[in-house]
This record gives sequence, structure tokens and C-alpha cells, in this order.
Amino acid sequence: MAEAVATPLVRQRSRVVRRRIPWIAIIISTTLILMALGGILGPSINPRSPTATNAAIRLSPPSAQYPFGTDELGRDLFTRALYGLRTTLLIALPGGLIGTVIGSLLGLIGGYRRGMVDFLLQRGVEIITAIPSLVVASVVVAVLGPGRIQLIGAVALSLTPVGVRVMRAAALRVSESLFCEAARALGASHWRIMLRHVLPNCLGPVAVLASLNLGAAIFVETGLSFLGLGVQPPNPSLGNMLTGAASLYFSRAPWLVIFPGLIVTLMILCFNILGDMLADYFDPRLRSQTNA
Amino acid sequence: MFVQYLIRRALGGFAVVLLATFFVFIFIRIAGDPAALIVGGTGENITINPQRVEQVRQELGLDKPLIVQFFTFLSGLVTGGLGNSYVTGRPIADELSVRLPLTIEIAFLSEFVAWIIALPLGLFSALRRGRFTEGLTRVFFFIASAIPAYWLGLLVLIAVLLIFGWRPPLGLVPPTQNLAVHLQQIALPVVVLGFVLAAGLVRFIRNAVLEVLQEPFIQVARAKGLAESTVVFRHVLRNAFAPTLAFSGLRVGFLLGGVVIVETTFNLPGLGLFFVDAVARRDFPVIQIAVLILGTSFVIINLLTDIVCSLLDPRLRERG
Repeated sequence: MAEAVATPLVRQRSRVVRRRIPWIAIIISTTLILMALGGILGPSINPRSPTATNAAIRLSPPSAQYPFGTDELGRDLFTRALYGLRTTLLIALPGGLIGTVIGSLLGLIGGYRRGMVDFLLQRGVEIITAIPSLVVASVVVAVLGPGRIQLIGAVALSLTPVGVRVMRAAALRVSESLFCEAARALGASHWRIMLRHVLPNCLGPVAVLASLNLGAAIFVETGLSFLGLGVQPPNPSLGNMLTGAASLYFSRAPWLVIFPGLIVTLMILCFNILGDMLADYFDPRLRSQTNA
Repeated sequence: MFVQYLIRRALGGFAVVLLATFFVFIFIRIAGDPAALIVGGTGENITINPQRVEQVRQELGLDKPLIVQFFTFLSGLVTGGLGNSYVTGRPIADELSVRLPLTIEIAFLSEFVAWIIALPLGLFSALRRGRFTEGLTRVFFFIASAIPAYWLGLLVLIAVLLIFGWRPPLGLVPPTQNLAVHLQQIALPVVVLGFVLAAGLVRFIRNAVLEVLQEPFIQVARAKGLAESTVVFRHVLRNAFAPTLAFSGLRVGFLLGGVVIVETTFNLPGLGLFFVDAVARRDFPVIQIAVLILGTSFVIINLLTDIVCSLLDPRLRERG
């Protein structure tokens, strides 16, 4: 089993070197890095305020001075988008990562231990999957309120079941392999086998999962904020920039709608493509069949 | 037996929904006192009259033990008394009788549009394997799965307005009153949601068809001289259909989440908008009922797809 996993990886790597330059990977990672930098550094480099109003320039179209235009109160949309990006990333990234980690740890335990633990976990997963993830997150917000920590928890909870399912399937497969049996025969503890033997052999699916989950986390956070349940105005979030004024003025000022949504879409797109490339990389057997 | 298997699944499914409702129920009551919310509103600085809170608590039965409250809630479900909204005071059942049909309509039509987009695209790209079709489905898949429905909805509204100078008529008209206007109001959200849903479906259909094409019985069908169209429609599609149906059954949660989003984007007063408003105002009875309905529809639809799949594919009947 260990060999079967390891050899194609090595062969794959050498083939990649001989191939042409992976432009898509470069473009995607550049975009993601730029977005992250924009979110982290943007607000501190850009001297403008996201909430400063200026009636003289209200609803002005994109220009050299205001690259994304201004809104109905004359606020600079580019600055607001930078702050919104920061807010979105500060909720979606921790939320997505926490959801992935908790989900895969639970899935690891369920897939390895099976029995009662697994049964209960599976039922828990079923309960959450029976309800749309956006609705799960909304219920959390309804009860705990729309603060940043609560939003991170809401995003994480809504993503946990996917992690459990993916990781459980992988752990079930790996824990049946000979090297796990060998470790057990040598007297290794359950935790040691899980963390040292099973987990490292499930890293492929986890990497794919993490990437897709980060995209999904951005989707859930911006969706919540769009529905008015997430980040509350006047704090800008990429989701709540599309509600309120944007939905009233979009016919006169389409830029109110276009830019925030474009950033969200680009980020989700990048994470999805990244997840897909990771899936190809870790499981080349699927390459010929399931590429679509 | 297959029937026993179905019954077991149905019971399990409803147990899951009941548990989900129970958790939401407990969660809400642990987090805060609904009576204080009703009296004080959601504002932070409003002084709350403790006597009034106690009175409301008794009126709503919130002073009873949690288990008693939960069973009161359950018996209400059976008798049809779903309770009143905390915010408007109106019976929830009345609201639902108006809102549910709209939501069901949007959900079904969107799923239908998704199939109409995905079936030809997925089939075509699987049957004519090549760089072009592969690229086409790839691009479609990535774009459609990355665009959030709310943004696409707004973009479509802008595009339609700027190009045709048209926007959907305001104020929802029921189909019985004026079908033409109703369809105009519902067309855009349905197309938007259908497009978003089609993303995963295209990819799944393509893979399902590719898998069936490798089966020996396809080779047999070709070898005995069947026309390629007969092979595709009688054998490939039929066998690829069942797994695709099961797949879309499992994605009902995604569909319903999408309905919540498009209802808000296009301001259509269905269950989704009802739920969103309820969350914003912390109208807990409504949230509870909405979760229950969403969960139940997930269970029911998956049972139905299970039955249909086993009718289509006798091999599936043997499990259980």
C-alpha cells in the first residue's frame, strides 16, 4: 500500500519537470497571493478611509483616482473592497481551516476506530448535511449573534461534515493496510497509529479538502453577509457590499455590484482550481478519467 | 427485502430530522431567553420590565421544562398548530401556506433548468472526447461553480436592464392570478440557480457516462449492430441516469441553500426569505419550523430518488 501510494507520486513529479511550464498554477498562486496581500497590507498602505463620505463624488464611475468608482455616499469602493477583503479573509480562512481540521480529525477517528464512535459521528454528519450549509451557519448566527468569532464558528461548523466524510473514507482505506497491522502488532497505541501512520497517508485528500473548503468558506461568509446575517454595516465585507445601496443603485452604477462580486468569484475560482490540481497531483490514476 | 430497506431508511431519516430539530430547539433556549427578546426587542440598551418578561414567558409556555416544551412543539406539528411568529404574532401555518408553494416551484424549476443545461453538455463532452469538449466542460464547471448565485443574480438583472431595458415586475403575483407576470418574475431566479446547480451536474454526468461507456454491455450493444444513437439513449443514458439522480438527491441541501439566496436576491417572498428575515430578527419559532421543513425535504427527496433509482436499476434492489 505504501509503495502503491509512493511510486506514482515520484514518477508524477519527474514528468511535471519535463512538461511545459504550469501556467495555470502560476497564475492561480499569484492571484491568491495578491489577494491575500491586498487583504492584509492593503488597508494599511492605502491612506483612504473606507467610511469617509464625500457627497461631491457620489456614484462616480471607475476612474484613475477611484479604480472601482464610488458609492452613493461618495465612499471609495476600492478602499472599501480592500477592507471588505480583509474582513472576509479574517473570517473565511480561520473558519475554513478550523472546519477542515476538526472535520478531518473526527473523520480520522471514525474511520480508524469504527464501531460506536463511528456510528455516532456518521449520524451527526447526517444531521448537519440534511440542512443546507448556509442555513446551518445562519442558525448559529441567529443564536450567538453576528460577531467575528461567532461567524468563524458558523463557517467552521457548516464545513465540518464534508471533512468527516472525506477523511473517514480515506482513513477506512488506509487503516486496513498491512503497515497499520504491523504497527498494531508492534504494540503501537491507537493514537500513534492514527497520527503517524494513517494521517500521513491521507494527506492527499486532506490537501484537496482544505483547498475546496477555503473556497466554500468564502462562499458561506460572503453569503451570510449578503443575506444581512454576517458582518454588519457600516463595516464593509465583500458580501454586504452587494446589499443595501448596491441593490438599489445597480442600474445607474453597476460598478457597485461588479467589483466586490468579481473578487469573491476569483477567490473561489482559484481555490477550486487549486483543489482540482491537487486532486490530480495526489491521485494520478484518476487523471485520465475524471478530468472535466 | 427492498421494502424493508426503504422503511428502515425512512425511519432513520426522520430520526435524523427530529434530532436536528431537537438540537436547534435546545440550542436556541440555552443561548438566550426568547421572552426577554420579545419584550425588549433586539436592541441593546432597552430596559426590560421583569414582570412583563415573566408574563410573556408564561403565555408562551417557556416556564415549563425543556422536554415538555419540545413535546408541545411536536404535538403542534401533528395537529397543524405551528405556533405564532414572535415578531408579527401571526400564525406560522398561514405564512407557510403562501410561501411554501413558491419555494417548491422555484426549487423544482431550477433543478429542471440545471438538468436541461447539464445533460446535453455532460453527454456531449463524454461522447466526443477531445481537447475542445474537455476544455468546454472544464471552463463551464469552474466558472459556474465559482460564481455565487447572489452575484450572478445581480449581474443578470443589470445585464437585462442595460440591454433590454427590462426588469421583472415588482410585487409577486401568484400564478393563478396572472401566469404571464408570474413567469416573468420567476424566470431570472430560476435560470440563475439552474446555471449554478448545473456545474456539479455536468461533471458528474460526464464521469457517469464515461464509466458506463467502458462497460462490456456497451461493447455488446455495438457489436450486435445497434445504431450509435440507440446505444447512447437506450443503454448509456439509462445506466448513467440512476447514479446522477442519486447525486442530485444528495445535493438537495445545495439546491435549498441556493433557493434561500435567490429568494433574497430577487426579493421573492418564499420560505427562504421568511427564514432569512427570521434569523435577522431572531424569530425562533420560524427558524425552528424552517429548519424542520428543509431537513424533512432533504430526507423525503432522497427516499424518492432511492426508489426511482432502484426502479431504473434492478441491481440496486438487491441491497438492504
